[in-house]
Amino acid sequence: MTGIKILKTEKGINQGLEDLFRELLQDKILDGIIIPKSTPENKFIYQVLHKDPEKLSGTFTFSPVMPSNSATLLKNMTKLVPSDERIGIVLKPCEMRAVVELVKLKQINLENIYLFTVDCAGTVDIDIYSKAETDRDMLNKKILDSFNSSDTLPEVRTACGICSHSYPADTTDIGIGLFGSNTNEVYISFHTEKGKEIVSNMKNLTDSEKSVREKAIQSISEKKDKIREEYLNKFKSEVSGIEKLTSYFSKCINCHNCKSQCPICFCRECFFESETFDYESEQLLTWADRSGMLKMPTDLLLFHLGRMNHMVSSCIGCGMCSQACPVGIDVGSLFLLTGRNAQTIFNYEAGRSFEEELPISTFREEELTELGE
Amino acid sequence: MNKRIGVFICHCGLNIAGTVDVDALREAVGKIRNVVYVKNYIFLCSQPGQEMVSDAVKEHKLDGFIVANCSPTLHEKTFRTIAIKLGMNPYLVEVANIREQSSWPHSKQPDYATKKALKIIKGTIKKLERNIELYTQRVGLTKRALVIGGGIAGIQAALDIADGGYEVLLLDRKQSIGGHMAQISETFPTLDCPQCIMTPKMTEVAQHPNIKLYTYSEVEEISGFIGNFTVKLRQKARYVDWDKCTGCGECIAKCPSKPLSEFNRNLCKGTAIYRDFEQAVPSYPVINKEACLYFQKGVCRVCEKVCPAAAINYEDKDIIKEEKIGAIIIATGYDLMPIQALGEYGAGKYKDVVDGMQFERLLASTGPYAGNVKRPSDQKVPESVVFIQCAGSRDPETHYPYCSKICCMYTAKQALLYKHNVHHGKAYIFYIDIRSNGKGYEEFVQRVQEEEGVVYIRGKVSKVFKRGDKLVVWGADTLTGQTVEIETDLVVLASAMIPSTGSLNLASKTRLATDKFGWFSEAHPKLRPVESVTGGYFLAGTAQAPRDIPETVAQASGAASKVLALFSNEYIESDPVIAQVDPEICNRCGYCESVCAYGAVKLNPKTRIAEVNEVLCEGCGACAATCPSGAISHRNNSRKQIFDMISVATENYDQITTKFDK
Repeated sequence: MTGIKILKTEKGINQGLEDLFRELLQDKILDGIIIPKSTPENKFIYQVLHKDPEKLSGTFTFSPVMPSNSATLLKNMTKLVPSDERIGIVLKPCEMRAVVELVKLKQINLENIYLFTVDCAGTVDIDIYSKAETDRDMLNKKILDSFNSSDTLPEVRTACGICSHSYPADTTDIGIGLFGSNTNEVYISFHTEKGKEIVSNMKNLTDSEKSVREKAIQSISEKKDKIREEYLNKFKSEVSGIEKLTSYFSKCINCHNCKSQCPICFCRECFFESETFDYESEQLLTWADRSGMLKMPTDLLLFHLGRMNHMVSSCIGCGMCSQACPVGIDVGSLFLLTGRNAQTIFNYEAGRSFEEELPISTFREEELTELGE
Repeated sequence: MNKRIGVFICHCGLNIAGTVDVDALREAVGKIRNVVYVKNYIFLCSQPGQEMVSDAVKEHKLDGFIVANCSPTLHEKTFRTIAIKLGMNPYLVEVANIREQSSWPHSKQPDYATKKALKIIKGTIKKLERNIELYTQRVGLTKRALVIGGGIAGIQAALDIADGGYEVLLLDRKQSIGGHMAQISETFPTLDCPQCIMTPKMTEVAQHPNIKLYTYSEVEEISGFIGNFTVKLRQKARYVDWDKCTGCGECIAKCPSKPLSEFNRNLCKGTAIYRDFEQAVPSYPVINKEACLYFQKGVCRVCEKVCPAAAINYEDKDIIKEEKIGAIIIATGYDLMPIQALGEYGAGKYKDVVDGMQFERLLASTGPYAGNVKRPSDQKVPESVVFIQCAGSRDPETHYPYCSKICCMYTAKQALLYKHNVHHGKAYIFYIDIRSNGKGYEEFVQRVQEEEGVVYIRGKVSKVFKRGDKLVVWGADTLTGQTVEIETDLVVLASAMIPSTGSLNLASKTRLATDKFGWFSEAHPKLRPVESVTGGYFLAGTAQAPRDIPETVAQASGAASKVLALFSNEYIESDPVIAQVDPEICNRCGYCESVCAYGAVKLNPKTRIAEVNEVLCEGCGACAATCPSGAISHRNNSRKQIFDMISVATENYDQITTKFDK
């Protein structure tokens, strides 16, 4: 159930795609589309739900910045009641992986939702993007140009620099790709029945061969896989052991922003913000007795380890936690490392498939017999 | 929260006081916040001990109290009952187990044992401070039992419950009840034939006004909980209208299709329209669709032509029936492991290598040769028979580690019956050990060895192969250290007992626990042997483990008495120490539902908020531990309480000076 076509455009990639989406709205193929768009003063980019095709302008399908994980938007929209109208949403591959996990966690209902996943050359930190001022257009162009260059841009976030799943997978309905494309050409692929229906309604597409694109994707993911493993192995030596770990979090101010921005942290009330962690003085004094003093506030490391325990088997490595950290702790690399190890044990990969069962809710008789390290 | 807490420390004779410094302990406990009264006593569970507790609760106006003694499985109920008598909510009484968890395991470290005992008590005080009053919930019950499996276990259980005055449904997937016992020739050690001792029971079942028979039927689905099950039963298409059938057997006599007879363990042919055996209950036949010429080739219909009652109905369909049930007895029995897996003994390759049940059929007067032992390959009377015990049992490397328990005895019996049948024949038994511990069993084996001249060889057989029309058995006699070669006509393998096929399927439908071999698990190996882990389900016979007929019958009556005790209640009280959902926090992820072994937690189909069925919940806490946001908690084991207890456990040990410190 997959197929690939090409959109040729002389107006530039973003504009060409914007016209394509506008037609989908005009022809009532979709009732709405959520797509990254510039603020009126062109200072920032965020997701906008468009219903009026005439208002569809200034969009950035290949936006170089990711203020939050869009899977969270879908969760809020569809958790209680599925959408009545047909809504498309443009996602980065990591956002799509989060969607898969949240569907399995019963937080997203995909009825009437059409998932468009784009190729991603990485995104820059929101701080860098918002402060880029005059260079912003150049940055946008740089990101677009980098799709078919051999190296990742140095400006991109750590999580993106080591991401090896930066293209649409078969979980998505429709893929929008630049890897392996010629100038002014975009690949449009479909991966599901729903996707096939939408693509068949798109105008001005020409047929394409899969092989050039597949080769480009393979080459990128192989290269990034290597970078990722090298990075994580090096990183591991920096955080292994309770002392290094404590020191890694030493400047944490306990704001819980990492939790708020994490698409997988779906709880309405975080356990670590519950009454369980309100202590009477007697308790604190007893603890202080143990070694004569007590660092306050308490439970800082417990929060991170507890959160890790809860969600790391579903960690999709988007790095939103690191981007949200006001004191610059790279929380994401730690969770990605632990997630990789935990998921390997359970032969699970977060976001890989809708069918693979969540490790925490599955019992296998032989599991954990060879838990290493 | 309880502000006035009392603590009673039991010496348990010297079980606790012989190790723990109970005086230092009393002093240290007295200093803990909210403790207003501490008292030591030599045996708290004794009558004066209980009275002392009762008096102290009144005199010191305690809000709740702790008994520091043995495991709560022993005396938690004792002291909660005291609370009830005093008008105190019983869930404000907690046990601090300082015997099994401190004085016993640390008997050589009295100082440490005392310090640990203090932590256990202090942690329990912390828990009790946040305990809330809980109340049991009452629900009605259907006083009607379902017995699954119509072998001797199911028959006995059904009769006992029916005699107790309650309605019983007796289910069997075969055409007739009777199970394996009906296949056996004679039973050890008394040599009664089942026709003599079992068919009267089968008839009693058929005639009992309180028993409803469901043969040729299977469990389709079970929902609900103790006292309130809804069971869907699939009555398989019989193609014979049992309301019209008189059981005359004319159709069976005339049926031209001859498939192998399952009841005779494929040793001879039966018919496509059949009943399991002559004395089958019910006596009405069914059609085996796979073997029937009409169903397979569209021609024949002989049974229809000869039936005087016009009972044949080729259009018959499976029927699903729904029944309300209060208690379920699992009596699904056993099978023998397929001997094809024992290739070294020539099993599956040579017709004259048979399993124990096949030999029973060869011996049986109702069997293929009317009780004259002949070997299957050429119907020759076997001049000698070699019996091999522990074929697959006591073999942890390749098959099953457990002892199948009945083989030593039935092999001795089979050798005896063979010798009675073929007077000049020779019988050899290869064994590892002879296990004959039952009433009259050892005497029986002695008789077989000494009076019947059966040759017992201690050792294992390595190989069975064919030479001419004989089988050659190679083995070792471990008593003499010699290798043994025996040329014989027939080899009988006492193959391992395994849970009956389909019992795993039933286990998954009922969510009942089994061990790794598939035997149903009892609630406690010694003290609750006939109850399953899940409320409302009871176990009888070999569904639980290999056992012989007397044990099976005793256990079946035991299970029936448990059902009768349950039915003597007008309602069921459920333990309130179970899971509870905070709907404000629940985020509908359904983790709880996926980890609940009892089907007690479900997302509400409308709101998708988790809900706990209070009667079904066994209070295991799996959901509470899994819920990431803490929306589910275990009553009186809230996260806060558990954190408090862990926190106490991590405190320093220097809060008490014991006499051992000096």
